[in-house]
Amino acid sequence: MSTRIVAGVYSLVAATSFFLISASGAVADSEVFVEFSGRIGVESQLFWQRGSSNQRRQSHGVILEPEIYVENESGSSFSVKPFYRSDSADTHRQHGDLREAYFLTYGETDSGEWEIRLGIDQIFWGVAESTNIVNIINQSDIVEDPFDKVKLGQPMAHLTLSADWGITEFFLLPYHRKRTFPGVNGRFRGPLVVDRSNVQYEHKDKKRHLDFAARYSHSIGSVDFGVTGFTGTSRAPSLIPNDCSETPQPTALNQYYSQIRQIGLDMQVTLESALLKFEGVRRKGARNFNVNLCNAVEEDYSAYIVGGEYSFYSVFGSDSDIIALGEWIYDSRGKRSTETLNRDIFLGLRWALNDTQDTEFVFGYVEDLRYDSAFLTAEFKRRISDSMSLEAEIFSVEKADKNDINFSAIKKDSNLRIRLNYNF
Amino acid sequence: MINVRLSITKTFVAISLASLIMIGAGVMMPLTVSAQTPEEVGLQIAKDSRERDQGFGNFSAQQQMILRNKHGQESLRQLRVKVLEDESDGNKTLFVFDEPRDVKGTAFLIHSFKDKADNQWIYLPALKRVKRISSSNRSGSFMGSEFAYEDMTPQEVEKYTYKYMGEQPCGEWTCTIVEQVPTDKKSGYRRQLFWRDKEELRIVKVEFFDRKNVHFKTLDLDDFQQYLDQYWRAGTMDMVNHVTGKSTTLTWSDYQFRTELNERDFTKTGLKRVR
Repeated sequence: MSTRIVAGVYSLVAATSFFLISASGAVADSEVFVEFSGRIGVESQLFWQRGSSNQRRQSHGVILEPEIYVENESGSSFSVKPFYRSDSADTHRQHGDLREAYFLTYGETDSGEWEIRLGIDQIFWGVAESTNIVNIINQSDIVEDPFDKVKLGQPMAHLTLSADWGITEFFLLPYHRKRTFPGVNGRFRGPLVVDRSNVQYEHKDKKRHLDFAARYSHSIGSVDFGVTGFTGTSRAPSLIPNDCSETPQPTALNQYYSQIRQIGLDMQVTLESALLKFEGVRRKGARNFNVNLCNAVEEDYSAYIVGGEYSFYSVFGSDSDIIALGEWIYDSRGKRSTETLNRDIFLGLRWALNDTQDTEFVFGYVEDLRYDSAFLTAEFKRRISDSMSLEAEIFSVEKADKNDINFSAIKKDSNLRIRLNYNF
Repeated sequence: MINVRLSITKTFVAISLASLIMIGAGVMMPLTVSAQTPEEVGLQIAKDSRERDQGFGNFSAQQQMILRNKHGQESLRQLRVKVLEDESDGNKTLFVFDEPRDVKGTAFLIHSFKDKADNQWIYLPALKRVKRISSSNRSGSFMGSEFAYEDMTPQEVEKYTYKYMGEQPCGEWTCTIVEQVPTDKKSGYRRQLFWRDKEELRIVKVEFFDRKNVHFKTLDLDDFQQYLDQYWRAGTMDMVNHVTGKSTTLTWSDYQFRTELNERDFTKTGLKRVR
């Protein structure tokens, strides 16, 4: 609830400042540009079998994601992008979020420009495709995507200064969003459900701790890179059983958010048909993973992703493009890593037909280098009309090592997801 | 997951229709074909074309594409293009997609250079991600249309060799025909024949020959209009593929020259602000 209040306050501040500015502009012949767009989707998820905790084999839902954008004469703008999903199986997955609600204004400096974004926004950092370890500003919306790709809106004040020597960004993050987790009837979870109401913080300010982040990025010739820093409340919680006594009988997991510091580097070298990529982080203050969840302790660590992609254009004289991808993911904690991808190899292939419907297939394969675990993904995407599009995605656990807690928890969650979108 | 959603990555864009049509205006140039070789004459026409189009500063315009397959089924593309001139180095171009709706807000930024490959970035609004992409895809289809990326990116005079092929009547005008051969091995063309009217050097027709030297595409340009008393622009471009029977009609509208566009709109930060 309080999340909504904060979100509301932010939108209000942003909206007020925007309309004050537009109003002042209105005196001197202002034209306001308003745009309403978005998408409505229906989605079904069909699992090969019942879950490890006997969860149902299917779930269905509707997704709403409208977007309103208002821009005044001077180029300052306000955008709001709410999100809602219904879910027939999991009450925790039936949820809403303000993905974006920010005011944006910008102007010239002596040597470049400044830009301020105030409100709730989404920030993407990184270059890799399997996962983005440097990407730390937004909390993961795990019920939308178990692999961290979808994020919750994050309240922030974001200043960007750009000039010939690069782009420098500063972030003030005054409010912590807790991660979403599947409920009792949800898939992609271990035997114990995460208790949404029992959230602990290392810092006394709890979710109101003020986090800081900064990024410096630049493009020099064929190299694009970014150096990032973050200090504040971890986005990834440590999950602690609610009973850690000598004869434990836990019934749920509690979330614990540490104070962490992280520095990161992301880099891409763009050659003719090849992209070479690197992401690396050094993180201090986070708790590690222990098979006995009660015994997790703080452990500083480093993690890297090294990889790339290679494009084959107009293959075999057709209009098709094929892109081959490969990434190696390394986490210095090894088996004590809290991440799903910690010492893994990712191989991918994207086949784009480049037809009028933008038909495309994407295949991905991840093999764990420590355990005998692997999974496969296959995606299909095609536009049906100018406003309708179809997406289908298969996630399949190929093998799950019984010692690999991450994988064995989801070994029965292989599924097919089909979504029909109406874009407006 | 393993969400390799580069989805639109290959819907590459770049502008050269712009540069194609941008060619022509101003100075009358009676051809003195006398002592020059066909190669020299061809190069001279290309250089004159470029010269006539310099100094526009910047412009923005709307593009509508109607894609037709051989059965006559149509689909629509709607986009906006913004170009910032840089005479010393190479132009900067920004494409923003409006239709189809599932790629709405996707944008391409291209920094062109006279002596080396372009730098290109794509903005994916769903992920709020700016991705640097390879610019080596020259011959691929632009948004599923009959236009290739190389038709849409600036064609620097230095990146081709030329040969004057003679004169032919073209509608009410008389046209020079110049053969243009790309030096870039990644081009999908062995050669192109450019038809320009003698008076204003407007490109009225381009014939495309594939790597096997088959004449497979023809572009017809029409509805010319002059801007700022100098720059001629075609309002309609019809590209027909003779091999597949498919065609694309590209219509330009809402041309605005010397707007408030500046360097800052063509940066990675500017790309994230695009609507």
